Amino acid sequence: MNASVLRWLNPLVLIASAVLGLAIQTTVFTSYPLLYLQPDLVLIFTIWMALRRDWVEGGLLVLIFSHLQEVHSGGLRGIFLVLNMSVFLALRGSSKLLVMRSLVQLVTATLFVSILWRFALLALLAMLGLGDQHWRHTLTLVLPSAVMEGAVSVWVYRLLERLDRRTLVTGEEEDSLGSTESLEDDAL
Amino acid sequence: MIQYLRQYRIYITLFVLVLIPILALDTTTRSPREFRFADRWIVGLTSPLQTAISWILDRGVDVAQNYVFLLNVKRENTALLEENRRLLASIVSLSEEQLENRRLRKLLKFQEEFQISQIAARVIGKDASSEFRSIRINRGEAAGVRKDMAVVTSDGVVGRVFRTSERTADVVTILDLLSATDVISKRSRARGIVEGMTDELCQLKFALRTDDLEPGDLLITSGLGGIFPRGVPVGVVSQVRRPPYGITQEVEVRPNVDFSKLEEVLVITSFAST
Repeated sequence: MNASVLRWLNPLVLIASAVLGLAIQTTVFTSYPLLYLQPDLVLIFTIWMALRRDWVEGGLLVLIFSHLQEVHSGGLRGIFLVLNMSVFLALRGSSKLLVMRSLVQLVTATLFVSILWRFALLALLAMLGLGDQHWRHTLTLVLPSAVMEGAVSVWVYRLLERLDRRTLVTGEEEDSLGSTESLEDDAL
Repeated sequence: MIQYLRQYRIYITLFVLVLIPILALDTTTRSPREFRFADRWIVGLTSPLQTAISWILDRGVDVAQNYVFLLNVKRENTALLEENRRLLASIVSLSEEQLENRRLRKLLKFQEEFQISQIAARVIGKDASSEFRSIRINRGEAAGVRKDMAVVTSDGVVGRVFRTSERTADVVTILDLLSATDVISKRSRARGIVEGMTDELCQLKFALRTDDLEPGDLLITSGLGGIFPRGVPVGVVSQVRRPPYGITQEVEVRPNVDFSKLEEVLVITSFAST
């Protein structure tokens, strides 16, 4: 298929994947005990955008993913936009200093970002004067959620990398990249 | 101009990426959780997926439960549980009416009744984030569901509708940290507001230190605000703490409804007090 068509297909497939992921996330993880292990797929997508896309494309896609998440959540409008965009900007900005190429590094980053995200939400709610007892829920779920997101991210990152390799890399780019390690080559 | 934009494109992009979420958060004060333009299309796209996945999961669970476990015992148990819930709900309703009747007879000598019309709905999805606790049901504007309608089960209050689309409605449950339900204690008539706290507990806010509240007290809706009919069970007081200072006491409430097993709900479209 034409390289430019594939290139345009990439963000569309990502958005469709986010929609499907949200549909699964909101239906499968509804009963005990899965209720406490619901992964945040949009956060995983956000981390991938921050580390594998440029500012404009990555930023726009993060805005779209966050908006999709807000449509399926009862949270305040704008709260996921603020938090996910903060994650994107922070990771994108630090990607020059912290090079994360391997799957282990990505999963580790996911674990830390998940924990920070939840505390950032708590801080944001406190600033808005809401959820004064929400810290109990946060402390209960912060580690199980981080572990779940770390576990799920292994497969999600591999799938995303496979998608990127099929739709983003042309013959010329392959030559210029040289020997780029694949996430699938990792022991994980 | 174009050269200027090109030179500073990174900073302009950064500014725009930061500005959009902040603007979105700012507009939340005006229309907190309403659907924006095109949101209904997104919901129209994902709600059939959610319905299909929920249906598949429910059928799978039903098959496992009906054929792996004892078939007849489960059927009988389900029927008995349903009848038990119905009877308990009528007992609470009747005893609440009886208490109120006695009180008002003493003062004014008159009675209050309420009639409810309702729509049955099925839960097809839950909140996309584990930090908030809303649910999505498969009845929307086409079925007559409107914003701020009460949602209940035979066990008690589930929550209220906070936004609707053509075929679905989103319900903020009493477990959500942004919900607030006016309640009174059935026993002592102490008043307060139930707000969500965790996935299993709520808190009763603004309960004065002088209010008579004990673990085991049943909290029911007061009817103030016109969203919930009066007398619908909300939850049971599980813990009461009186700190050494302040004018209020800390009360934990366990909801009557088991949200981890919530499948069908009733949307109250209208109720009347005569």
